[in-house]
Amino acid sequence: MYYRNRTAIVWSLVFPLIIMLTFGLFNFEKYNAPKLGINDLSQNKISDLMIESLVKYQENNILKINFGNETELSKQLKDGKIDAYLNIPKNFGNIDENSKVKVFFDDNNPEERSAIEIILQKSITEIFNEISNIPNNYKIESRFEITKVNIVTESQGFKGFLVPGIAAMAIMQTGLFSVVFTLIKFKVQGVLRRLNATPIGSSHFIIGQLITRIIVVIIQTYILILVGILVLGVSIGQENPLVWVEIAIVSFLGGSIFLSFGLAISGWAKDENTAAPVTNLIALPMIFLSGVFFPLSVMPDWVISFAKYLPLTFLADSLRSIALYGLSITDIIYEIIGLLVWLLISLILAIKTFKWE
Amino acid sequence: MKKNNPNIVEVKSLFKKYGDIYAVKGISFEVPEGEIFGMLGPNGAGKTTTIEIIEGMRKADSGTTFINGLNTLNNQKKIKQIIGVQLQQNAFFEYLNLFEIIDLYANLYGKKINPSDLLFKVELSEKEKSKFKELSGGQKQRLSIAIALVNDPYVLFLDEPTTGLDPQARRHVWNLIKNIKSEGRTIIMTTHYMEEAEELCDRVAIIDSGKIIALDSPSNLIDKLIKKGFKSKRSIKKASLDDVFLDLTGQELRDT
Repeated sequence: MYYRNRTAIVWSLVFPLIIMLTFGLFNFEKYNAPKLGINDLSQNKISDLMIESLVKYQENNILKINFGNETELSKQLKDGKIDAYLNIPKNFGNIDENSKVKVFFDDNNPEERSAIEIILQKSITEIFNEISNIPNNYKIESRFEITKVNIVTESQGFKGFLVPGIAAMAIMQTGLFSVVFTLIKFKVQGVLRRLNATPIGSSHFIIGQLITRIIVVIIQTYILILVGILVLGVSIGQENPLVWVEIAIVSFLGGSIFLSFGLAISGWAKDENTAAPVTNLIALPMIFLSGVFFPLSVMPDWVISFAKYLPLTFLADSLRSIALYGLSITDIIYEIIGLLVWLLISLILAIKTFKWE
Repeated sequence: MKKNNPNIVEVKSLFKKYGDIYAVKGISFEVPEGEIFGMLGPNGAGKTTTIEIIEGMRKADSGTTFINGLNTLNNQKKIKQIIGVQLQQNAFFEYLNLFEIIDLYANLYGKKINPSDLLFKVELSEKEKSKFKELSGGQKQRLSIAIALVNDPYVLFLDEPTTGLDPQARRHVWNLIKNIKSEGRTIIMTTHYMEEAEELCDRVAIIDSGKIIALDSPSNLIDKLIKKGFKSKRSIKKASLDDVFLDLTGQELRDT
């Protein structure tokens, strides 16, 4: 009898396949080049030499370089956008205490720090060899000593990346599953049919279902982020007092999208045997393709090209920007528009597919 | 609010097709206010479809239905407000107790009622705090009748209200239906039990293959059959096996 349940057999194979193929897409070995900011005040021959040698590392994808002034770079370092920055002082190369190169590191990223240290050391050695070919130059190594400064940044490393991602994923899970299984059950048992005999309209019923769950979604997001703060030591939006309001707004948007998708699935599916695999089929790939656990950048480019438009990607990015990088909603208009477009699509689907029986 | 028309329900030449098969093939009848109107017929005859069209839960392919002078098609909300509905299959929210379920349904109609009064009326006072799935078959039927009454309806639709009940529970539902009638409400019901139709209904329509093939009071229908020269194979006795059963086991409900 089991063999006649073809769908069950097919689905039992589909999930492992999806997981295997999605994980197969990840390239964990794909080297994430450390990012170095350069502030060149000297603009002389020697600083050019140094930059030239560093650019060679960039061309080999070993390093990423970002030029800027000191204020820009120190903000980028604090926001975790670069791993270190280099201050090349005026008169670089002179025998003068004040003309030494200073490097500022993010104290959270020891691996990137050591990579950058090695690269800088090599680059200095190259310049040194280069200079010794130039006549009338003194080989005085002390001119090229590097002062290293550790900066305590707000960059939160992997934990900081993970907490908003997981919160976004939980919004999706609650949105899809809470509504799909309750409504399918209501439909199969005939609860919906009985409600249809009352004067309540379908839009009232749908809105009622959405509101109750949206409240749960927002509370759940708060709890997850609070656990992130209290247990994992992630710090969230100290600079923006409105951060909790903005988190609620984004959770509301994301929650509404996935709840509407849930309603659409439960309107379309006849029973839980079709609803369950379809819901999983939507949720599972998104968990891995939307930058919840790993940044999208570990994916092949063709995957990124569509994954960046997934609703969970927009949601995770929005939550991360607000909670982690301290941006406000007005700074992430692109993500918000993405969410609004998905909300429109999902609402239309929900209304079109809803049936009382 | 009520109109002078003595017929509170009017059904005019209803047709409804599912695929290629007509479920309802030209059904018309009227029900005067205060009557219990029975719809009898084998499974698939079109009883439930007809009832659901009158309730406004299904659309007829053609034909019109009126309740209290309102056309069902363009007055769905108003009609749902004045009718009470008990469906053949009943299910209610599993996490709510009976008190809460009744309260919720009353709110869906915008009515403020005391759920305890209604539960008392259907003899479910002790079950106020129970969940729907903890009820016996008879209790479930009585609850669904109570829910059909939350909006104080003019017309009550009961679709097979006693199917699957033991004789004691059936009598209790009968008494409940008689009480509801005595409040002046009109009742339209379907049943497979002829003794139930005989006991309760003022008039019955016998439906087969989507058509009404007979419509009269139960005793007139029986008289007509006897006039045709029909003789029962059984000799009619002064009591039935039903009476024996109830005499031996008592009228008391067994499902509490």
